[in-house]
Amino acid sequence: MPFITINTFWTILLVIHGLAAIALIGALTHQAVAVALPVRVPADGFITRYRAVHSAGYATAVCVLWVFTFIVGAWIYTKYRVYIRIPLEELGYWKTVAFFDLKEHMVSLGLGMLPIYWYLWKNARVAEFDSARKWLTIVLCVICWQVFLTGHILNNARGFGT
Amino acid sequence: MTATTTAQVQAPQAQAHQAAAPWTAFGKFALVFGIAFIVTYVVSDFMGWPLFTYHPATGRLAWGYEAARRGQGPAMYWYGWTVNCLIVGAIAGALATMLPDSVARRIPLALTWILLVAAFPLMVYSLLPLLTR
Repeated sequence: MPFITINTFWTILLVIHGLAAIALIGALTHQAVAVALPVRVPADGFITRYRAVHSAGYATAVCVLWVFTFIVGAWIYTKYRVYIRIPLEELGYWKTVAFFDLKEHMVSLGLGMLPIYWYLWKNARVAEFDSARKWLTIVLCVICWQVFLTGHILNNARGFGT
Repeated sequence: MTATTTAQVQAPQAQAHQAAAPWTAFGKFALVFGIAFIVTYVVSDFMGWPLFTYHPATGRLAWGYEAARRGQGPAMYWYGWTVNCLIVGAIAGALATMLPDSVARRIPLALTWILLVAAFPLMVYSLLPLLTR
């Protein structure tokens, strides 16, 4: 007799995927805000402290979380294609399906830029890298939000508990 | 960490800003890997060139593009596209490590984020058949 049912296994995997995505979006948003609106002078207040984090410290965590979330998501994707997408197509949810495909595209494209993103942050003192580091971080953050919200909406359409 | 202590930590770093970039072999690899990865992904998607096709209902793998078979569920190409990009990116990146610094320095760093931004509308365009259905 298996320790857990197949449904429970995939549910746990989906929850882990979601939690990793939340950690990733938190780290990347923190870093993007800090790099887009850096604090020049010490000040108090929640927003200022949010912007004043040491951004370089997030780079490795962002890469590890992106790859981990990607691998777990790629595993779940096989079940999505059979058990989620086909019913969505039968219900005529074509835009939902399209946005999920867009999420898969963007998360792969972001994956390809992780090595240079990490390198730019590991050389955070190099002025020549400042602009690319800033904009790459912001773009990856925007992708992360797009991917996260799409996954969340799709889960509402037909995901956990269906 | 408070804003005060963060500012204290960041202040010496700002003073230690370097003008010239240390283009290590990994740096050259990473830059060219990223560029090649994105270009390969867009081309693979538009041309329908996955390295392999996965049939999730039956668990079958087939080399290259293979359409879904009747009664055997859908076919998935995304894995094949992504592995394509990893291979092409790794080869291009490995070759880039042999580039002299002067050549590597001529590759615009802005490509790292501009390519990502440019890929977005292309991906949306590739999904128009679904979006307009």
